[in-house]
Amino acid sequence: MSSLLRVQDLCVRFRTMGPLKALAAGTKHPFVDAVSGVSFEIRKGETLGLVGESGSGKSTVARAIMGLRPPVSGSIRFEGEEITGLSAAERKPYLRRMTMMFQDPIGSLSPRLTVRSLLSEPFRIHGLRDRDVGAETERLLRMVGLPTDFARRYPHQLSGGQARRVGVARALALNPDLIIADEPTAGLDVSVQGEVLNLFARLQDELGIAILIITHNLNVVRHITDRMAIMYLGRFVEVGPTERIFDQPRHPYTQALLSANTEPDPDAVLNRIEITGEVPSLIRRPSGCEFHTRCRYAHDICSRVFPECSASRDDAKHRFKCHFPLEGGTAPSLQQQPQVPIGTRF
Amino acid sequence: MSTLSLLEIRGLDLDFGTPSGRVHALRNVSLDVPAAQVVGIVGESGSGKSTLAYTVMGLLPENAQVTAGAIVFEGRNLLDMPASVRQSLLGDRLSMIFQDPMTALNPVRSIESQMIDIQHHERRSRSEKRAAAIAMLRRVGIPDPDSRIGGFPHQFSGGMRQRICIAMALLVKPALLIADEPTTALDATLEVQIIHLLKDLQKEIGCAVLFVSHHLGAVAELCDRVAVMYAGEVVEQGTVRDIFHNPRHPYTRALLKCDPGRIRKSTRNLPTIPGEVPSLLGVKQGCIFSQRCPSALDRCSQQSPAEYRIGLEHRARCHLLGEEQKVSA
Repeated sequence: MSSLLRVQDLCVRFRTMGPLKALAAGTKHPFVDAVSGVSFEIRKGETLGLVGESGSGKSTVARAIMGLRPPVSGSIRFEGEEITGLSAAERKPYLRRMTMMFQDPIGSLSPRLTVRSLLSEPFRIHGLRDRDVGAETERLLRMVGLPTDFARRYPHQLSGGQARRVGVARALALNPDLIIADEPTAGLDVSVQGEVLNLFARLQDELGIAILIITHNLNVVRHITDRMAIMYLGRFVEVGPTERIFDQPRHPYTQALLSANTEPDPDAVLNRIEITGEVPSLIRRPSGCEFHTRCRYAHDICSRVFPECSASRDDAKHRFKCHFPLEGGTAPSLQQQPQVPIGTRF
Repeated sequence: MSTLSLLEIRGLDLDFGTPSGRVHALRNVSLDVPAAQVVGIVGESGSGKSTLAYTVMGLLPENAQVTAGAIVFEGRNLLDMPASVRQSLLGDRLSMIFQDPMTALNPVRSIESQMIDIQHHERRSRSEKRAAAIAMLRRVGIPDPDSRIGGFPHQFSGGMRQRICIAMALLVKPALLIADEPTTALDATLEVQIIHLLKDLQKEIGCAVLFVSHHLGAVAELCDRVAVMYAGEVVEQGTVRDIFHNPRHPYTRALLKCDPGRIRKSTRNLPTIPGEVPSLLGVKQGCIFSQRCPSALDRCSQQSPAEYRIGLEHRARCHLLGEEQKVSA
């Protein structure tokens, strides 16, 4: 399978204070890097899950890909062509081929437009005047499993799950190759969440679309993604095939995230690895391995040296940044040698 | 039904007046909260679980009207009380944690003044109240509480703010704490921390908790008893093991099956509950779940099911249980 989207060394920077205030405060670097050194690729028809806590930079990655937030460095290639630094007009043809669904299902639909107008908007924007809007609307509604008379409704007349389906239909309107879904099931009930995820799985099987799913819910990732990446403080800490990461996480943060899933069983015996404390501030990133402040396995070296990316011995696709990666889900021994870095980035 | 219950809700009916008619948001809800126990209310959005919590606190909007039933708290019916007496219970015997920690605190006042204000029922000096507030902040895990108590809500992260809300709600040592989806706005790692904190504090203080959540995992972990709500009715209630190990109502079973946390093997086809939650406008006939129920009988759409007793504390409203009992009798 060929690469559809390739992101390399992406870095997105936000200003924390104005130039004058920075001068007055004597701050030399009034910026915060919300995303730093992120590299990954999505092949045709593949689903990649991007997981992390709030503030880890997941949505910023998506916004950078869509051109909503220009990156400060790094490259984003769509089918081999560089799309960073393009003007709005130059970018337009690419936006036909990759679409984004935003977080809030109802809030991301204009309250003044009917479902029919919402679904025909992509055609209008991209100048496809020859399309029969009525027929296209019906086709799209059918595709996402909504009755066709929904075309006359307004967003406030839809439930959360129905609004999400309209969002999916809108994203599908121009037959894209890639859909970026930012928290597609946040705020939905479990039964509706299942419906939306099944819809994604079906559409992918039928249309062969690549999907980038951004979520903090690991249960969502498990069932529909092929690969997943775990983000912490704007960097990837672990990337690999989804099943493999669930079975044998190597980074302690991944392990803690996986065990933070509450079990719907009162008698479940949980070997929970609770992370203490909260996510550190991006303004004052911890030294060395950025997770060492919350890591239960941290040694001296972790607070001094930034871990290079290493690969699993038996699966080169499974990569992680940790000095003392977990073996078989158990704690690493103290005598263990630090991993030999393979020197490549994610 | 023991007489020891701290809170007894009996046959509660509640309507919202809307331009398109009366919405029957709660119908014949009966629920007991025994002293020093954690009772969970689970259900999907629109099932009336938050409305029930707000009804107990008396925080409903003006278009809400209780049409029948009683809420007996410590032997007195809250619905018969004069408003001033009822209000004096809030922040004393009853307190509440809200869903969104971002908006639950006053943004223009310091944590210190808000935490001192909430102790207005106590006759103590300001410095004593401040010391109590600092001790409580330390207990809920706010680092360096002596200096941070002077801070404002925007200076704290979401998880910290929810900890502050919990500290405030428990500072008054209430008999009953109502927690309305306290972990919904938080990340999974923080959710676990907050649930453990709530559980520890509940044991220390010995208060009862009414825990409203749509998250089955959180309820299984925290609660002693569980009530399952669907479209304004309590369809099944019992101990946490009754509900999670031996669910008897088809809705409870469907809800448990849908939880992706239960599905161990990777699947491309997750279970769902087909259909939509029915509109609560107008009068309903029969069982409220009948349209979506996989095992609905003919009479389910005509006759409202009675509540059947399954175990000591386990009860459910379903015609199927009646059929079974007939067979066994």
